[in-house]
Amino acid sequence: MHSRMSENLVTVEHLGKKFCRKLKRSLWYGIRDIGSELTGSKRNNVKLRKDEFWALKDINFNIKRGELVGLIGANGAGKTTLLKLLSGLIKPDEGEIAIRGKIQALIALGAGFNPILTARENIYINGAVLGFSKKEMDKLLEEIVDFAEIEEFIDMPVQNYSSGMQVRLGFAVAVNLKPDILIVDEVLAVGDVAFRRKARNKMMELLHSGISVLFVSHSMALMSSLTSRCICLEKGRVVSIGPSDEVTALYLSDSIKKAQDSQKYTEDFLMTSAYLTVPEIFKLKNVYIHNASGEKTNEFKTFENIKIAFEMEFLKRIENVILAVNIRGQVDDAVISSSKLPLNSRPCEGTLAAECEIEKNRFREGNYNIGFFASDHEGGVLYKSHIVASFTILADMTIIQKSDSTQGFMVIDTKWKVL
Amino acid sequence: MPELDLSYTRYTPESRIRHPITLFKEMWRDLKRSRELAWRLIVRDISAQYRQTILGYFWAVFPPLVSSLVFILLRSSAVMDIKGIDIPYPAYVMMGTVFFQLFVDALNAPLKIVTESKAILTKINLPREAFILSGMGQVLFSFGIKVVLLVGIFIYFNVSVSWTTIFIPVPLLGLLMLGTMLGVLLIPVGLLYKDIQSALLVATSGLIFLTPVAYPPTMEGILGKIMKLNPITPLLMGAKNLLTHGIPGNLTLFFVVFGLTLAFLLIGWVIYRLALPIIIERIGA
Repeated sequence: MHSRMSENLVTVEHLGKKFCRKLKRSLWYGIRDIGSELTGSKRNNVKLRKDEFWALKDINFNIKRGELVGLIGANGAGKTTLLKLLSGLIKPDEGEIAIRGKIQALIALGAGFNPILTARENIYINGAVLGFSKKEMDKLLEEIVDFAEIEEFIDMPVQNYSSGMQVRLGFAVAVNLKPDILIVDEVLAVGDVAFRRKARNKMMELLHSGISVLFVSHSMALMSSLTSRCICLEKGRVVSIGPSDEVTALYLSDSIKKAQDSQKYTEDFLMTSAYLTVPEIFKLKNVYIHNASGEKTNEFKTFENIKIAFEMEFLKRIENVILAVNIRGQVDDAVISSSKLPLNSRPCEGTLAAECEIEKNRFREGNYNIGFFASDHEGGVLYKSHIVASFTILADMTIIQKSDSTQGFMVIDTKWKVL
Repeated sequence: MPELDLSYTRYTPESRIRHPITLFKEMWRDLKRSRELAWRLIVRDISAQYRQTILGYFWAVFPPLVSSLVFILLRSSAVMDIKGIDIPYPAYVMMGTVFFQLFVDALNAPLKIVTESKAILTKINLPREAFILSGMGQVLFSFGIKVVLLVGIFIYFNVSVSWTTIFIPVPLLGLLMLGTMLGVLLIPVGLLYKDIQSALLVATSGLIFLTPVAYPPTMEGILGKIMKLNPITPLLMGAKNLLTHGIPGNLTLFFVVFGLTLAFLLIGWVIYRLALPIIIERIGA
């Protein structure tokens, strides 16, 4: 049993993949590559031709039986390319991939399904592709439909499914067709809470039965709670690989630093830093910090006004939304202060911008993080993050002199009296 | 447990052509894997195709009907002098165009279906053979409808059919495979450059005159030479002769073309398999 569990199901060695920036040239390279593929001549794979770059370079990792490995990285880091290579959709230019067993990839919404066909047809096709007979599929059909909770929609084309239903169906098919290796991309971040929990449990059950999972997510919190080992990609290279807690912490602090340096709290960053997101309903698109005169800055003096603006998108109509902001110390992440905005009379749909102005801030010198929280009327969390932006309070000698030392976060008005 | 061996896969930059035995094993495996998908695609495409039309199945017989009428008109007004035909001309020309259309449809199907399925091909690693098989299935279905029309015309003109008709599936299969073979060979370039599909349309509209469709093969002139070299000729003549004359025509030539078609179909299949990952990487979003 021990030797079986330590077997590598996925081995990736020196993997490299080139892409071409220009379409016309890319097509021409394509024709030439087909030519050398057919003659069997060794392509000059390792050299970059004009306008080419390494989308992935020197990737090495393995996934053992029963192991859940995470894959993280900003958009454009090469995650999708790696997944496409693993699923055999495209060929490597360098190195090799060895896979023991059947692989099932749940890449993005509704992938794996032909949108025009019904769920039933898609289920049978998926089975046939993996070598299941029609009889075996008849048996599995009920299990899949049950798990996905789509009984009444089984004969409806998949393109008419909601995103939640597509995820449920995709996950149900993938796990019930008994794969040896499962690739899950962002799926567990979508769908309702109950299904997420069910999917998570099922995944754990499969892991114990000896399958391997490669899990891709933008949520570092989910990553460190689910996976034991993590691979972090940046610009096509593995920048760190190891225990998830360490890799995600490193990645998170790195992206926070980058966002702070550039003062750009992009959607990508806001997904990464989030504790919880429901991207098919709510997206935090951008966060800006201004001073009283409306200039973008992240440096303030004590008693200055701080304006924090949020750009959001609601993909569904939601009533009684509550938005909340909290200010956290950067050292210990403790909440120093918070403020909320209940939107009782205004249902939210589409884009929404809101601004929270801190009047005459009373913070002392140091760095502060801004946390953000959004929920619906039933208390269902739409977004929760400990850091969506940060600001610095500059040292002010008059305040420092008044206080005992540099300790503390707040300036308070004090009067001394000798009694 | 599944009957297919999917237990070990290796992806390397090396071309599969250097390991032909593995390559053929994988091709055979994927052919089996693709059956269900191909069948579902056939059923879906056929029902969708005829659901959204007013004239429905009539569209299957429309192209051969039009070209037949043109030929009948040309002959009756003595623009074209067509001799040496021993059955009523409408039946003769209908027979030719229906068989010829089988080839044309088979030629167009592979590129058309792969282009339409681009979105799926670039996202899911499905056995890609399914798309070709599905194209062949749809061509056969549409051919079946045309056969019904042809039978009606033969009955109307009281044309007697030879017993050798039982062998007719062989040349018809030849026409289907010849068209598919050429169509599959065009996929790699056709997916990258749209010029191919346009060129195909022009080519097939001229081809009908260079093939003994509406008239018996001529031996004279440039046309005679072209017809002799035209690989469709022996297959098409084989089908026509078996149906009405009880003779297969030039058997040697027939089997040479048939054999070459089979061989090139296999080659086309190999090219399709090897080229598609490269194409997907270039066109996939």
